[in-house]
Amino acid sequence: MNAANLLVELFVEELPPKALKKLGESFAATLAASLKASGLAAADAAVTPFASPRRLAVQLTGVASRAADRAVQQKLMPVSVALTADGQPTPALLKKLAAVGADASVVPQLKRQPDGKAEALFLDSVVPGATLTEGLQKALDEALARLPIPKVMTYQLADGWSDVKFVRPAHRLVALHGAHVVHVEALGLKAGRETLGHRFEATTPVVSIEDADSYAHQLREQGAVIASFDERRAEIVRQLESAAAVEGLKPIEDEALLDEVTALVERPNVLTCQFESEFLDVPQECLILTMKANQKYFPLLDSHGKLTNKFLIVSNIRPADASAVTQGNERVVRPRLADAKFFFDQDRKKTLASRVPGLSKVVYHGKLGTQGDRMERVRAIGHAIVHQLGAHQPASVQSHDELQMLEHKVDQAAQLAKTDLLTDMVGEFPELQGIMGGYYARHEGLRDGVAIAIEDHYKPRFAGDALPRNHSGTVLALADKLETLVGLFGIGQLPTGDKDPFALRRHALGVIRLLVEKNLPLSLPELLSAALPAFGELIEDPRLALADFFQDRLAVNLREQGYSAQEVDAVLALQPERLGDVPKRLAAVRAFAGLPEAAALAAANKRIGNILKKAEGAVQAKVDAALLQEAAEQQLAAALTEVQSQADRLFEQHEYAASLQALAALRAPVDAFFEDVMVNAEDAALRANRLGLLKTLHEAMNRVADLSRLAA
Amino acid sequence: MKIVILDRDGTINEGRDDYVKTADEWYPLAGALEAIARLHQAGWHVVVATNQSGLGRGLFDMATLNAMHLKMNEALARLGGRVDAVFFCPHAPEDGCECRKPRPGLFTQIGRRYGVELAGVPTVSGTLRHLQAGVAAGCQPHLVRTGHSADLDAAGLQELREQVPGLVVHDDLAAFADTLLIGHHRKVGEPRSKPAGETPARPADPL
Repeated sequence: MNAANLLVELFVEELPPKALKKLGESFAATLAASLKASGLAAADAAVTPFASPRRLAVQLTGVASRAADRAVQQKLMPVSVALTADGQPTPALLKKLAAVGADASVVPQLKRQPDGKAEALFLDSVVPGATLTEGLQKALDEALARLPIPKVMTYQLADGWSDVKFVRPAHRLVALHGAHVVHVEALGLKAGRETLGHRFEATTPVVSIEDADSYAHQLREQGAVIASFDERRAEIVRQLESAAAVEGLKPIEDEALLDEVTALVERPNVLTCQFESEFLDVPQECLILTMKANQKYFPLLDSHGKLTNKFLIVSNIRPADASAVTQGNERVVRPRLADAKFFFDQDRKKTLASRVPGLSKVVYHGKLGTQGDRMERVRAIGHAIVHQLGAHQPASVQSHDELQMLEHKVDQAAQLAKTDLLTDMVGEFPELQGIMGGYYARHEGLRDGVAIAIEDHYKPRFAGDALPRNHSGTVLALADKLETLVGLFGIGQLPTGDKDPFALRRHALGVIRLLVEKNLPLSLPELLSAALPAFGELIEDPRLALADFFQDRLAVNLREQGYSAQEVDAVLALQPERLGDVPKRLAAVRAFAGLPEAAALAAANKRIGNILKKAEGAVQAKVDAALLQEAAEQQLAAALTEVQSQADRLFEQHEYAASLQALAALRAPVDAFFEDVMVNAEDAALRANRLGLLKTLHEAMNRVADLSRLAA
Repeated sequence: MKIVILDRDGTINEGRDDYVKTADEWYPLAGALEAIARLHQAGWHVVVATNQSGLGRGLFDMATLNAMHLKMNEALARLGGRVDAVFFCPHAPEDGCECRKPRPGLFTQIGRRYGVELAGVPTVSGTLRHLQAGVAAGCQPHLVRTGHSADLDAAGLQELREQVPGLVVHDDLAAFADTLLIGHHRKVGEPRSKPAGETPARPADPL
């Protein structure tokens, strides 16, 4: 079974850079999986993928030239149908044998075996293993069919007649088993051993691959190509760092850009370029975006993270005189930087306030009006939030004046926050929304607090993004997100499955993070209610659906932070209104669960809950001491009085862990109560009093979390 | 898919009345390769559609044509640019083929290759027959005042506008790239410079 290493390469025209990494991984994985499934490659064969702008390839170790034969047993038919009474084959059996490629001569070797209730005849045979040519042909067909191709091209083969549809025109196919060509075909190409190297820098016009193991080496030496995606990427990183080090600077970090550049070159050559330092007057976010998004350059930053006028390019060629390349790239980027400077200069000729009327000309959503309408709603919600802050915050923390100042800043920022959508710079680079608003606000001399609020009100924009830096930014960010959620839920635009075109999940998570991490004294239901009037008659009341949506997002978010489903469940079962409390409640639950008394108390809690649920009529949470007959119920009542006042006091002080801790003292009296006392006594007054005791206990226990959820 | 179709001789490189017959005779117009690099880097697929009847007339062979395009691509690579594909008509006029411009064959081949509708796809040339072929295929025609049109007077330009409806005029490929890359801004912002086609000749880029 001559095992040898296998190499397959498809040589194509420049592949789409954003898709290349996935194309390479998919090609290698599907081909390898298929060869393993057909028994040609061992399950533990090493798979080495290669992907460059002009080739997809894979190398597999220890591939057999033919898969092992397999013994199979095939059921033919029930004995009663297959054989006559005297044991002769029936016409039905002969017909079946012919169909599977056998004849009457095998009848004596057929096996009788029970099959369900009856007995059936079975044929033993050996299936010859697939040859490598067959197996590889199948694997190649599968690998090509399953490529995640973003968009196919159609092209004609050299015969001038047949059409092929593929991601890009393919020109050569290499398939080598050791040193031998495997005669497979794909996309109208017959496999051979010849491929092409670098478009401009190969030392030989055609690279003839000697054997499967020499592929990467020959491509590197003769073809001037680093075929492995990962190796090429690592080489780019190495060159970027060393070129930056020469300047005493750091290249900007961007993994997606690295992947894209790796997909654009076959042999990287990093060069240092620069632009006129006058462009540095333009906000660096604009320049960085211009260089990264459009030109695929790596801007260089100084040790303070400030942009310099130097940048790195990753060239595909290595001419003796690099200055032609650096100067060429400098010439190409200059008009783009000039555009950015032009936009910045033009935009600053108008104040943000003068753009406010323009918001009424931009449609936000067919059913929700213009950006101007939206701005007014955000203002109204902003006011409502400030009022709630005033109502919930003890006067000592925030004075009346401070609140008024906050309200004023939030209102001004809310009016201006979306005006940068009308600037040329944000028109060119939508990613800069907010950031440009902040720059322009500062340029006009607006108070820094307002500029920061404008800049920050989109935050958090993604998982792990920072939150707004000041109070007004926080309030505005909340108002903006609540407006989005209430409005879109109110017209029935709920996210479904994978589809969340308005990123409502992200908005909800943003609200949650703001409330939790800023520990705001705000109640989510109150916030939703406060946002509703801003919409007038435009929408249906979405509060029920939104409350569920928030609850789900919150549960997911907390579990992602490492809380157990049980802990999250226990806290969220109470539907806490103030989300800022939730982490503290969770920590308390976790500490409580670690107490030796926890399991018994949780079980008792569950039991009490069930008893109360089954009780007839409304149970009053009160206890008449005169009706306490048994010692165990008297002791429980006494212990409860003491523990409850302590636990309640701690709860009011938001000392949740200590509050739960205090409950531990109830374990013994609770256990004794259930041991000695019959709750459902004959005497109605006794029964009602015992239920009242349990209800009091239940309420005392479940203020921080529903402890019954911790029961096993 | 963002795709732009360019003519070659007189648009990207200097044209010659006696045909560009060797790689040495192929040299780029000032600023043209930089413009292609900018388009490529901004995500445009740059495709060339060119009549090369010099092949049909036996003035040069395929290897020579490939050498010209290798030279073009290498010069583009220095700028971080790339031409996606060159579609050429190898026939002489008397062959009566479908692909020789002003017939739209090359354009329809491009549409088929990329699986795109050509309606509204910009195409750029300094010659009438390229623009006619482009318009016949549904493309949006852009004239550059280089090559054949470098010396057009006002009357000649007017005549051209009448022959090619919807014609947009630019000084050269660089000016075309300016318009394409920031064109959508003119709607909201003020124009970056005077309207396209009436700009004073821009100074040649220092090479």
